Amino acid sequence: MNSLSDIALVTQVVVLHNKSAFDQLVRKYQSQVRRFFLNQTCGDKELSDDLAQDTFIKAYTSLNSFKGAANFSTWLYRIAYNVFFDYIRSQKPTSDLEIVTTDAAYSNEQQDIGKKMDIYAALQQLKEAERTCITLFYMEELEIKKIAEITGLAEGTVKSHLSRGKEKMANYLKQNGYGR
Amino acid sequence: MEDNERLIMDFMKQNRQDIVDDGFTERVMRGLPERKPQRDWLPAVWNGGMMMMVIILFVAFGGVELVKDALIQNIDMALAQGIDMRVIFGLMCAFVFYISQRAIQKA
Repeated sequence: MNSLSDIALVTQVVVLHNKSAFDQLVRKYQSQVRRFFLNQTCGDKELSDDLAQDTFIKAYTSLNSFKGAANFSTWLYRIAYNVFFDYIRSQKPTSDLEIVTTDAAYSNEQQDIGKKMDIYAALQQLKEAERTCITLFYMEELEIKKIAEITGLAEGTVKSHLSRGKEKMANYLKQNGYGR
Repeated sequence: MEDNERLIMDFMKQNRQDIVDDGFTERVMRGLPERKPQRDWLPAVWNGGMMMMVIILFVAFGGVELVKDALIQNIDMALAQGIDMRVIFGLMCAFVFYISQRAIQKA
């Protein structure tokens, strides 16, 4: 039902150039897209909002290419994923994405400590690909198949990232007093 | 392993936050470029019109009769020369199959 209403809104934007239909789509998905970026950037709110804005603008300009085969949400995540990795590449043109872990440059200096600090500190222990898989799987509760679709990785690779990320994260959480 | 799974699942759920819009949508809407009007239908209409015209002219100038006569003449000639009708039928089937495959590939 949800995806049907999304398709109806997309059709209104593409065929009738109805901007208010796109406004509804942005309102509906802004939270999940911004949360995705907050997790990927380990809490950099300003950067997250900039990347989320880029994502929606890219989605708007390439809305014609949305054929409705995937959920609108999956399609949007795919754009968000590409926007994030384009950003990472532009920041680190010569480094290998797979072996790079997020450094402090992507981490916002959090004013408040506690819960938020813990999640972003925990996510910082992971490599980018692991972080993407872990957050999409555990926080957004997406299936492995969907994550593979979003990231363009094989399902086996997604499972490996999940397994490694899970181990690192569990160790970090246990070291910091969780799960006792 | 099960414990790790549960630990992470609970931790992630606890930290899952819904982000309030707080003017974000308006900023996105202000930053949207103008959409170029779609002209996708123009080539389709043009092609369709041209195709219709070709068919009308073909029928109006007796194209159907011409093709039918030529076909009958060729079949008569083939029969007169002792060519098996099954060979002609097989060739025609192969031709139709080839054309339909091309059409599917194009579509």
